Amino acid sequence: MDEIMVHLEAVTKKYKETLAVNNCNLKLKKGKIYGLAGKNGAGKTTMMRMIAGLGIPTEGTITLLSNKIGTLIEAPSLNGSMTAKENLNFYRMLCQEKNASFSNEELLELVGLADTKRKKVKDFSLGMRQRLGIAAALLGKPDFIMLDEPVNGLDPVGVIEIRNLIKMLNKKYHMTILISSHNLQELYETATDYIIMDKGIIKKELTLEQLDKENHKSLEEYFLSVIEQEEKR
Amino acid sequence: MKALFEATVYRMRKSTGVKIAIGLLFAAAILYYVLAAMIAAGKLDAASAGSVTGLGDSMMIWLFGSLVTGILVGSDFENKTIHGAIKFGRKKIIANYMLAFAVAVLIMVLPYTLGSIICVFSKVNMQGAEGTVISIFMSNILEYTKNVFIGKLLLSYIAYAITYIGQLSICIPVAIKLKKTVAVTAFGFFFGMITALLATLASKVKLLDHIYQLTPYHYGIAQLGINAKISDMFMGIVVSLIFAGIMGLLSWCILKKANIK
Repeated sequence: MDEIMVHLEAVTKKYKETLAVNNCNLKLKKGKIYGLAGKNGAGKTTMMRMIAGLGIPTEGTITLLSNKIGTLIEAPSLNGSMTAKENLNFYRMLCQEKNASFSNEELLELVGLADTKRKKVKDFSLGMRQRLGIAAALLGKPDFIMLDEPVNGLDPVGVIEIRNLIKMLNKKYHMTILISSHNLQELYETATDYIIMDKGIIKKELTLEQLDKENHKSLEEYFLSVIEQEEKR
Repeated sequence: MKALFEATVYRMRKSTGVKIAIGLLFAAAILYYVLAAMIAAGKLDAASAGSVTGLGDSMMIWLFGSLVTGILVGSDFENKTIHGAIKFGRKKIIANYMLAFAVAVLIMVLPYTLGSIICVFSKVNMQGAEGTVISIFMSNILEYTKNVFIGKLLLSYIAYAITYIGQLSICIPVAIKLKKTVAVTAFGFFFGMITALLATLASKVKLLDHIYQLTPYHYGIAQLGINAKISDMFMGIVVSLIFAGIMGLLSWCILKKANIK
């Protein structure tokens, strides 16, 4: 039987009168790459923030198989007055992993930032910050990674590099990965399973095989058909 | 918890804002003693005493203390580095803030304390600055005689440093609520300026005065200088630690249900 990395049971998040996430039940299986799709305000980031422990559910419970989690939610969490290496040193201290897992050099090489040297993060481009955010999320070799819009601000080559990196991490280290993105083509290329959210509700969960059997040309087309059906109701 | 504290110290050490604040504070302390000595020696007009007092601990520690507290807490939210710390749990995050804050305040009190100790033991004559440049550190220099037990002098400094921890601890819950470095600095500096005014207001109403005496803001030269009673010094330490503890508890109440952006 597949191990469950994350289990959401009847999770609801309410901000005053707004239901950001409404009674969501979800099981994320170990070793898969999940693509989370939805319009702006669908509740994707709120759900990720609750899984990361940054937001507290109004109702329901969230169970995690491991507390070794790496996150990149909204903007990368970085200190502008530090260099890339210093930022990684900082996160390494928080991970309590001084020698194990990836070295700083390995991580910077993996995300294509090996030549930044003494440049401060405040002088980095959006794409460079995004890459460093991903590197920081990988410290401590987590069992589960959540990446919110990971290819935001990246050039086409960067997008492909990050896609390959995500696939490599999943394949080589069996990391469970949850990615949210508005770039549905990219999500289709990267993920093995898909979750479609709308108005705080999980509308559909399906695997890549199931999606391909649906006779849709792309995830984009399928996503639009799900949203359309919902609006007709 | 140790890992969280080490990471926080690392973050603070690398912060340009903290480096500037501590550097300016040390410069202010040096200037304070040098200019006070010049006033005492008649090399500087006594009319400058007001400006020299402005370089004293009460003004500078409130200004830079609230700035450093703002960076400690506010920048953790602004840079989202708190995302990496959340796995330790919210209680430990608060405990870590309180510990790092206390260490930072002790470092900030250090240049004034060292300056005062150096003046005491190098027998710099500060008598000419009496009544013009007012602070507990200056008072100790003026009041210290061979009859004063050295332990009492040190206890006076320890009590005063802990009182600062108590006084400035109000910035921690404010920082957790506001999550902005600049806002915390503005609040801290303003609050520091009105504490003396609060004492005057409290003295007019008996009940308020009783409450005020249970806060670290009540403790000054009279209770903590070398001529004060040892029991008063201990009371200052106890009141300050309890007050800081209450501020820690209040901070946890704010953070425990907060959504971290």
